[in-house]
Amino acid sequence: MSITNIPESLSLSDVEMLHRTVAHVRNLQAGDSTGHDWTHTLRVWNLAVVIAQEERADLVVTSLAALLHDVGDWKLFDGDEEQGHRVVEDWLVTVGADTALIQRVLAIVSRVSFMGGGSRVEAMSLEGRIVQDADRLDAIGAIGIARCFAFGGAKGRLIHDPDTRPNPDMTRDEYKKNRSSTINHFHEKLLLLKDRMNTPTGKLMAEKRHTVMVNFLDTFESEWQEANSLDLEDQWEG
Amino acid sequence: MNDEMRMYLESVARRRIDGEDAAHDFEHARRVMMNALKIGAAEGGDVDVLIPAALFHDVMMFPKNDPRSDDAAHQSAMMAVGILQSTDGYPAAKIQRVADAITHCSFGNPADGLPLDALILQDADRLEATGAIAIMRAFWSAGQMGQPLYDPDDPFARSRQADGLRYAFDLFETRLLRVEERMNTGTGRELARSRTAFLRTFMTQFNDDLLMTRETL
Repeated sequence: MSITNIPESLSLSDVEMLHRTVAHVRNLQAGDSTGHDWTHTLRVWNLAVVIAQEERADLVVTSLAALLHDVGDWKLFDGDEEQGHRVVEDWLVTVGADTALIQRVLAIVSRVSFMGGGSRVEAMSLEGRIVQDADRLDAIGAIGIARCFAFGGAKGRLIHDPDTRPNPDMTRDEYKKNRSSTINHFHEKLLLLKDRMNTPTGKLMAEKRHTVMVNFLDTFESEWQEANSLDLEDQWEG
Repeated sequence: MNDEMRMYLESVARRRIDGEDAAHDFEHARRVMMNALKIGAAEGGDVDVLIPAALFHDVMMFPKNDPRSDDAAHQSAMMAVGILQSTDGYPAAKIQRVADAITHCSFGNPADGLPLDALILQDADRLEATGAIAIMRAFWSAGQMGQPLYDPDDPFARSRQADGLRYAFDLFETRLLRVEERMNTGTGRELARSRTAFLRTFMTQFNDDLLMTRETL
């Protein structure tokens, strides 16, 4: 069994640690379909490794942080960030990561979750900025569109409410409580991500995915409008 | 049909259609009505039949993976009959035509020998299965049913049978891309054309996003 995502340059013990983490996270996230499932983690890990190689970052820290970035997500613990933090730390101890490595990974995992357009971005390590880029990349583009609607379906969110304007300047608390429509979510989060990419490689990848979303929203809006703007009076004579 | 009756029927539909399922909510019914009127204006159809048929075609709706889903069209037709029978001024002679159109509306139904109103309703509903709106509906439903977006081992179903009930992305192959060729009317096919082109663009982009992410365990 080989995992091509694991760079050949790593030591045997590092490879072993990544193998165990892959199996563990895959197992944890197998049943999730709200967009934070194993396939999301897998895509983020792949993207992060690609970016890390371009940006010459530490591949073990990047890989572990990418694989574990959603395991401690506050959304999974009723907003309890402390508990998520502990779960990740326990796992890293289990696979025998040393203290320095644990600290580097934890520092990333606890900061990667996006908290509203107005929240402050804290200084992060290169590996952290890469994992954040990878996570944001997976939220945009065609895959981002798919995930966004699937999340809306899982949570029973409204699709589109043309009467409610999107609010792109939410605070962290407003963002946590927000229940706005799925289309507004594009404007309040997804369309902002292109300008928040940290690394040159991430920026480049984000440009294309951003354009895909803009085209999608234009087409969606025009199909929606088309179905709501027909002059009914013309039809009565049938 | 006058404005007043249409608005009354819309208000009944709005009340009766379960808002929980955004792929088959009142907005969907209303879009199908608009599509039907647009196609009907060009192809000739009876507005009195098209409006209630479109508004109530999904009035009884179950998730695709619910066994009751198979009978939903028939139940919706029965519900429409009941509603129209108790609607003052709705022509009784047209009620059965509404029921027939709804019964034959579902995607897999053959179009052979159907009356014009039924053909138009089929087209109007199928338009919702293509283009950006169909992309939204496919993934929204997958999320609602807790189904995976795609098969991580074979996203494009190259070495297996595509299964739209299992993977949202497989629906593109089994349904969304087939809408255009399955249209009954020239007007419907024309409306479907640009939407199909958009689907293909989206699929290419989806592929690009997954390319570096194939699971190779």
